[in-house]
Amino acid sequence: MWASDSTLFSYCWQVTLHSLVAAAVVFTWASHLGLPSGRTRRRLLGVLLALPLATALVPGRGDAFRGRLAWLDSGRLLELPIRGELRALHLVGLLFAVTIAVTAWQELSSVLRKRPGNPNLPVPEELRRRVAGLPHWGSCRIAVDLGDEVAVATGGLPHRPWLTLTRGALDRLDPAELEAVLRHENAHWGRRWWWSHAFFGLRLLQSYNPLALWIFREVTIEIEIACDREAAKALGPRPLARALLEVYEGTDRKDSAARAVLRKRIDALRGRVRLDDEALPATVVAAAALLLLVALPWIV
Amino acid sequence: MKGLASLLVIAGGWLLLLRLVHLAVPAFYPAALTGPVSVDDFEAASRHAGFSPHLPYYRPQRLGERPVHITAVRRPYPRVVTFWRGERFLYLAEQEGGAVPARGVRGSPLADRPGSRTWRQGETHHVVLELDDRWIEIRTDLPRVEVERIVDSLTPYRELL
Repeated sequence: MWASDSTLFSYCWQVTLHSLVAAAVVFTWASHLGLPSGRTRRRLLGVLLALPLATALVPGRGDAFRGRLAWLDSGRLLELPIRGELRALHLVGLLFAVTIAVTAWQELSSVLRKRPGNPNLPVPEELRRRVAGLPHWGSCRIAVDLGDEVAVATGGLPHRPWLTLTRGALDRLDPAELEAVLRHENAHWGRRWWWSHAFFGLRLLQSYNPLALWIFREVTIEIEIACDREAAKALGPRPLARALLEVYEGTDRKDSAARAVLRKRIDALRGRVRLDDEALPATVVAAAALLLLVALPWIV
Repeated sequence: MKGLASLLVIAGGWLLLLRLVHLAVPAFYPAALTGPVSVDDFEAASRHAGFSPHLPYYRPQRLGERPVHITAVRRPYPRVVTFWRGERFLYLAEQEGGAVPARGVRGSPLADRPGSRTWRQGETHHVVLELDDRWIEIRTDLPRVEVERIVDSLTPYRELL
């Protein structure tokens, strides 16, 4: 391929470039439509995560295509000089390296932060009963962790889920709030577990692409909001909103990203953020995906 | 369908912007074109590739008066490819850097040119040699004697003027 002997580098650049163009089109369109949070937004974000991996693989886009047929030859941009021998191409390489490092750090730090729970702390029987009564959690392992903050997490595989709560969550949340939190965590299971992990896989395949990191974050927020809505069906939005407020107040002020997400979720529960699962028909989303599938390979 | 019209307009706008970028960049910075670029003469090829290509002083009339095409590439390695076609053809490629062009397994060196290789495939003679730190590759259906005269007469373009 063009400016580098490395086909892998070239493929990574093509994925990033297609991701950038697709995101520019989709986000401009979503902004124009005032697209609310919901299933339509999740579908579009999924298209943005998956499509560039395929369009960058379209064959027959070598030197001859670049010179005569390509709508945009990004090689022209990458040849632009920065300073001395340094070209835009080198900055792209640096960007990839930094993004990979950030991804590795994010994953490593989340593994280090994982709290397996303290096996010596008793699990209240009432909690066991409530958890076992929820879908997909018949064999869920529960652990309690020493910690004053309100924190609840779930993970594992479909046949071996686990749930960890802090003592702070058990002590500070009232029964309705705790029930709402459990239902939120439970909503991450079932079909949604598979979708979440598929998105995560797509994100890992694009560990070099800073846009993929951001899109994945947006997808995660949408999934959290969807799980909040499901949890609110049984008890109403207030118990979960109160629980999220507890978490928000216990979150470090320096962690502005986490606090922003919590604020958005609380606003969604309180009806201050527009939600609509059927903002656009699935056929329109499919048409958008098809348009991008046809147009992106002409950008090389 | 709801939203589709606005999608087409917005996508069209972005694509138009990308096309403007595609056209504008080389207009302001010609060196952005890495090639392959078809050029009209060897002066343009020299400017684009950054070196003066070797041309054969000896060129039989059977190759035609002028090259059919001259192509210059800047990256990944500067390269000039010239092609003559008349009654016979001559393909001459010169590259600065990179791996040696493919050579025949049973090729033999040219006389007085150790490190070169020549072999025949059907009617076509192939030659690969290194000259002034650049790889030169020749393919032609001229007879072997004329191939050797062409190789011996290779001269930097600027010296032929």
